[in-house]
Amino acid sequence: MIEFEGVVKDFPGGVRAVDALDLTVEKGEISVLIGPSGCGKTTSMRLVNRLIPLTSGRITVDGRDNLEFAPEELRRKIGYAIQQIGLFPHMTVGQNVAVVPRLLGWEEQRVRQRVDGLLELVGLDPDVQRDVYPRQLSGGQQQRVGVARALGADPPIMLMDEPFGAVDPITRAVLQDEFLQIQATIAKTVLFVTHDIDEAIKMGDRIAVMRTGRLVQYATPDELLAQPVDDFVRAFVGGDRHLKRLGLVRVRDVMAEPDERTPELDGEAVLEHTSVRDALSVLVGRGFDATPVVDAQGRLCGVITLNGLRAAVRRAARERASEERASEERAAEGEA
Amino acid sequence: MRPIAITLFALVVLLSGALSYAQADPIRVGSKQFTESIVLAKLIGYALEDVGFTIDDRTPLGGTDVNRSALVNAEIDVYPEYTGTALGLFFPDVELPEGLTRDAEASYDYLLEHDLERDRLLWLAPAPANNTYGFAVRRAFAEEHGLTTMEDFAEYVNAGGEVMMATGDEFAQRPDGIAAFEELYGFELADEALLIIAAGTPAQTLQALDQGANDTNVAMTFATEGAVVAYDFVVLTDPRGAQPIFNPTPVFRVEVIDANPEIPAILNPIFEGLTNEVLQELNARVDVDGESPDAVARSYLEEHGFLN
Amino acid sequence: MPVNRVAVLGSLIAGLSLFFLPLVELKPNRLASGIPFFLLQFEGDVRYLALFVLALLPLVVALRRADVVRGALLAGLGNALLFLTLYLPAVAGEVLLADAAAWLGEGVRLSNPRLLPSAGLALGLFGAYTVLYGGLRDLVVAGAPRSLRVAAAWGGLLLVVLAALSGRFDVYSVVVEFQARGQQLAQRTVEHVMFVAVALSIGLVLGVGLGLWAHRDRRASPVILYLVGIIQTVPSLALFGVLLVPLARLGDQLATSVALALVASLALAAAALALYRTIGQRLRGAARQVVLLLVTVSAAVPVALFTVVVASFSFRVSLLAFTSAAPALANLRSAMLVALIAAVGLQLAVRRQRVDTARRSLARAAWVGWGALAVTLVVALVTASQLFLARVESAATLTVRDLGVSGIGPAPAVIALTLYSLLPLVRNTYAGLTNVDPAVIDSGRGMGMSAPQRFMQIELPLALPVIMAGVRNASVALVGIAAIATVIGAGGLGDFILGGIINTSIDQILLGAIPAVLLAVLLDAVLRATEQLLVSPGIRVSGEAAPS
Repeated sequence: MIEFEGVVKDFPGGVRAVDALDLTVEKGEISVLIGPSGCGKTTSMRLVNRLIPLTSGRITVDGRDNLEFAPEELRRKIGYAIQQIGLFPHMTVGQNVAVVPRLLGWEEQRVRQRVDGLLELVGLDPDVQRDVYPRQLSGGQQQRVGVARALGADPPIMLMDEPFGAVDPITRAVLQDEFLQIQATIAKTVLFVTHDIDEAIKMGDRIAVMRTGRLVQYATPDELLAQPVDDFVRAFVGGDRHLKRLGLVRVRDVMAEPDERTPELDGEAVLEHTSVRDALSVLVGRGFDATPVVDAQGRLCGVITLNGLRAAVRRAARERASEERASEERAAEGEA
Repeated sequence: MRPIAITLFALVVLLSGALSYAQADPIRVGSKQFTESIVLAKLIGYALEDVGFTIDDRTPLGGTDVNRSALVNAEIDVYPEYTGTALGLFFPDVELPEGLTRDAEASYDYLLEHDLERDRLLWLAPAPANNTYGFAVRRAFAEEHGLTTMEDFAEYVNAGGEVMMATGDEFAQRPDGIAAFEELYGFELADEALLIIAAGTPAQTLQALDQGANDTNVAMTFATEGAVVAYDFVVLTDPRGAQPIFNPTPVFRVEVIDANPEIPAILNPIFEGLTNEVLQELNARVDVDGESPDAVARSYLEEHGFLN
Repeated sequence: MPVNRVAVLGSLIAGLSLFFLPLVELKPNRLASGIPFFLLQFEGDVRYLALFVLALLPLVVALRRADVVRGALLAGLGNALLFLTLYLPAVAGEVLLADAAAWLGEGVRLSNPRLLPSAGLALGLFGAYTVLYGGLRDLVVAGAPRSLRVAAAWGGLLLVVLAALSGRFDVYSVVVEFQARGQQLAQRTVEHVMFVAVALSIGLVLGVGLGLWAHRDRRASPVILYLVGIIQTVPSLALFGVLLVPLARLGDQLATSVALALVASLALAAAALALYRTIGQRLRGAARQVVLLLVTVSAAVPVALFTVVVASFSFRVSLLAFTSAAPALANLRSAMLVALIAAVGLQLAVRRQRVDTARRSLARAAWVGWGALAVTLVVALVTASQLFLARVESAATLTVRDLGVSGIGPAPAVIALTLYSLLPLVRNTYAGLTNVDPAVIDSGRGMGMSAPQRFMQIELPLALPVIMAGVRNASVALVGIAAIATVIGAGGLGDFILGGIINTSIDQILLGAIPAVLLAVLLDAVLRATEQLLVSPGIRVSGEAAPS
């Protein structure tokens, strides 16, 4: 868990990069910091492992003030992956991944096992790629190594600064999916910086939108899209925010039971775990208002219609509104 | 702390090892960079080595100023210097007596007295050889025009004879160079008659004469230059004495002679035998025949019974 | 590739120059000029014309289709031409020398007559090498086996060396000169190597230090780079003149008093620094500058003094270690040679070995070899120091001159050379460090490396190729500049070069210049090999590790 409490960062010359930031990254969750250039998102992240010193306020890491640790000691406990990857070009892939374990003085045998395990985890073949140099890898492979290196000593907390920034969109999507899969098993506490709202929605359990050093909104992706707090956030998430929201919902959650007419619907069916956004795209391209849904084995399992989608979205909004009311009431009771 | 300790230990080992040896100071011999100076220094070195001195051979050391500073600063113990050179260069702020530099004995006496007084340097016995600057011509040219002395040459020039003279820049420009000859013998060389080689040595001017570059027919030379023999040139004599006397002489730091008073008795007889002809031959054996200065110096000392 | 144009060019150069230019000049003695001889003037039989035919044969071969056969033929012709261009005139020269008196006529001093190689021979060799180079390129392109390429590259040279060793080239003037003055050649060469080695080692420590300082301190960097640039513009003669008197004075001092002065100055620097630390923040403008200047000067003086003494002493000692006839040192030199050969051999074997475990044990053995070399070198230096200091009676009378510092001789030469080596070393260290990708350093920091760890594990290895380029620059330049050392009686190959210029003896000049050139080439090759060993394949410019 990472907690920012009233964190302020002033740079020489009177520029306030971070202003009274309060933020909590829950254990095992990915929190995404997002905002336009110069909003202080990267600065906030670098304050955590003390790459830059904070001016005032407090940052605790798993409950302990990060000033309690020597900077090097602190950093070795926190995984760190950056956009330019920053792989050491003169070290082999294996040596890169082994940097932090070696700094911590692990035994060679243990380092070797860890390196091979991590390379497998990120989808690289240790026997092929352990002893080659970074420049012999493709951009995507390099990013994988960057992630593996950040995971080197199995740190509970990770800082990731646009870790998938330097590759083409297709590769990026693949890397994002892979990281989410990995995260599902390793459950690290991740502070993730990006300027790409789509990436934030896809990767984040929560998204913190920052503007000129201040936190504007901190919410789950769906909430951010459904209820931006102000015009800035609304503009930032984009005019297609409702479409983006559909991207968060799976077809199986909104489909209707197939009826007798369903098999007569010709043409392409959608898979049940497709996002609703993609299903909508299919519907718009078809002559009918409905299309069949199949499971991974290709068996018919449902049907979706344009009306059904609209109703589902409305229902979701209503549910959230009542949830919020309930939580507000709980908060009010608590105060009272 | 460990590296410091190791360094200290190494120093102690070094010094204690060093102190277990110990032997006499060697005689450090320098020379200028041309053949004759090297040969003279080797003569000094081998003669002293023969009677048991250890020799530190620093030849060739550099130009006149490097040798002189080295000697004055006790970086070397001896090098061969020419009387005329010393009088011309080492007493810039002293008015020398009129005609001193043309009188061999007076020159030597002056240096013996003043160099000892001022810089604690001792001039041993000079060689009779006079390695003065001079004019060299091809033998065929000399015979054709009947040239043997500078007087003949002045006559040739004044009769309108063609001249192209290869010379170093210093000899061409210094008042005691070509100008001294012109004044004393009554002739004048036009600027166009001079082929000036910057910092040119006699070896270079003589080579220019040999190759006839730019129609060269006269060249600056040293009287004892070995190359004169190689090319079969004639050096015109200087009967009226336009040039200072340049007697080569071993110059020691006086402390060295005080500590080793037997040195003059060893070197003086050797230098007394060095005439122009002898030096020319020794120089020629190095420059022309291609023998090494060491071999030439050693064999000369052996042949003349100076080695035991 | 159609026609081998390189070989055609080489063939034309060789053919035309061998036929139309004089090959050798018959000189009556060391100085006087002689008579030029052309190929057609060589008496005897037609075999000399074979040289001409051989020079033109590559024209025909070069038209063949490009393959291993063409490469091998061209390389063979090039090698044969290389050897015969030197060998045949030497054979003809023996006849000429026997009749020298008849050729040269009366009136010349005929002593040690010799053959000076002339333009035809020099251009012939150049053409031969060009043909050989064309052939080698064919072999490389066609993927010929390594053994064939090595044989093609070095075969002719090997023949030349063998012929020279067996005395077949004794007629050539450089060889005659070598026979007269060669005893000194080994000594002068060792001196030359020591100049470069000692100046480079000390320059490396100073230069990398200064480069690091310039990299770390933005305000200091322009000053440092400017100062080392200025040094480069001082002519070496002037530098020697400047150094003469102070070094001579320093030499007179007792070592103990100099050591005391050194410690005192360092203490002053430390005190001034402490003062600056405590009250520096409160000082303003001029006062602050003065304190800073005091710190810098009082720290720089002992460093400079120490460098002077260390440079002078190490030169004298290493020269002694490599030239002394003392049996202990001679044995150590043999041991060093054995260790060197073993280490290089093992290192080469490591590269060939494919099996992992065998490779590792070979690598370990190679390190043992290098270690043995280092140990014998240190022992030899210690032994040589003892020998060098043998004259000193006691530590109390030890003067700085006894440590090798003097106004003339090797001390000022080594110091001047060290100063000259600084510019490429400082500049390249600075550039190398400054050009390291900031993202890489940032990730090192972010992963928890301390500053020394970042320097040793990231910055230094990444800057190494640029630093090594500076080392190679400096070393090749130093081989050239070291030739000037002769003007202050420091020895080195300059003795031959400058002596030859003064005496107008081209043979004497070549006797110094040829080893100097070979030295520069060899040094460059050794440093390249070192670079291959030290620089990671991941950042090597022309490594096998190309992007896939």
